[in-house]
Amino acid sequence: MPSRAALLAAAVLAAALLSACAGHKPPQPDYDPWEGFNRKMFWFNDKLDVYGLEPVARGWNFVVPNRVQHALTHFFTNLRFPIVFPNNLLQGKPHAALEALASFQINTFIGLLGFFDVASEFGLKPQDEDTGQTLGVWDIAPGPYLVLPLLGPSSARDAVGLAGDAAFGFYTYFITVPYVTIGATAINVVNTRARNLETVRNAKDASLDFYTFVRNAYVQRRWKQINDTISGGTGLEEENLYNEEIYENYLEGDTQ
Amino acid sequence: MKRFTRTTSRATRSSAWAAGLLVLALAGARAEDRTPSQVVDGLANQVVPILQDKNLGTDQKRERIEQIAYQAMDFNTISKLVLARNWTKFSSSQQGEFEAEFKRHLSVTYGRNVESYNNERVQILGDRQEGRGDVTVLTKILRGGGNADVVVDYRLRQRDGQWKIIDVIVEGVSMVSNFRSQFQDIVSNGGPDRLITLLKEKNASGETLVPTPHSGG
Repeated sequence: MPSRAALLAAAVLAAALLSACAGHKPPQPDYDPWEGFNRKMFWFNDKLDVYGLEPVARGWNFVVPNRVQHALTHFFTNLRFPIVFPNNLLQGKPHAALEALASFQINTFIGLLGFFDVASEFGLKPQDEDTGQTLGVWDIAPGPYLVLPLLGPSSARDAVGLAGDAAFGFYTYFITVPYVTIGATAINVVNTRARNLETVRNAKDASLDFYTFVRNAYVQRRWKQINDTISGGTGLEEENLYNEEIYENYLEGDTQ
Repeated sequence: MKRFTRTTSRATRSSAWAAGLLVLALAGARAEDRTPSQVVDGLANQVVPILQDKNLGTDQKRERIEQIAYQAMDFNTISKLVLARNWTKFSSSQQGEFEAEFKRHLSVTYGRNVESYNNERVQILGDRQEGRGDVTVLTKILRGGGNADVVVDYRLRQRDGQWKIIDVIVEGVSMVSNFRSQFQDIVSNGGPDRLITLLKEKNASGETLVPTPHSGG
């Protein structure tokens, strides 16, 4: 297992390189210079899912009661605290960081190691922060869309963010036994997939091109997560998206 | 006698006019009075009872909700936004065909969710003024609190005095933007006919699809 310092150093270095293409621009869901590679990787991941993960998740869903699935989701959400807390600080949100800390303590000690989300009852909602978002708040552009093996949709920036998350993450802090890490990760992955069986099926049904569907949804969603922090939640405001009359040049960087 | 009749007919005519004007005024007032939030709220209030009705079959529910959704949405505008500049590559008959098939596609794919309704409720959080005179209504679908709730925004535009939905944004993902990305690729590679054919194929297979069992709330 690589050391935390090495991961952090790699992340900082890569972020510095990426910041060369800084600039807070609206999302470009069709900007995909690595599409050839990405489509192959997407195809590979999809086959793994269809023949490997999804059947396992269906079995899991059949055997494991709903309550237990919920509890596991809460447990793994709670385990993200070491990632959420520093990233809140790095994004200049000390108040949110304190809320995350309170939530983690309540859920760990009262919520029986995080299996019960007691903090939500007190209005402390689970937070969703990661290093990729922090880099976005720091005005680092996402760069090209990138489909990672096994991990799925990402971007040049967010892939760097994943290294940051790993460095901050719980496993590198306390648990150095690989079997525990691998086992826990496997349970998390299968359980999460089981909770999303219907969503994924709907998305495949609703799309004419599932690859483009996922790419667009990923880019929009990341933009929204980062933009919430910057502007207090104006959400997506792509110029010309809602313009019926002017169609010319609606996409910057369109190569048609 | 003759004179009498004339006066009555005149009286009836003028009262009919008055009644007509009154109706028009009421209708106009109603259309203007319904703010975007009220439109979305009304939509939820119409749809939720249908979903909860145990006496209705899946197909009946789907049909009724489809009618309500068609009323609430401006499919002509949605079609233009989704095709963007490609809209002009479509002949007027292709435009009509696309609009019909796209509508069908949304109905078939989203209508299937009727079966998985599990007492979710809609909460209106507020609204936001947007460019072009649009208004976005912010809502949340309540599914037990915390991360389970889903944030859904509806963007509305006024057409002939009535607010109609032109986009649905789920957890920050705009439906218009998403379909635009997909259709852009298809039209630039295969032209308008390719897109219409693909939609038809998808709709045909979707209608015969056997619904898969619940994946547990």
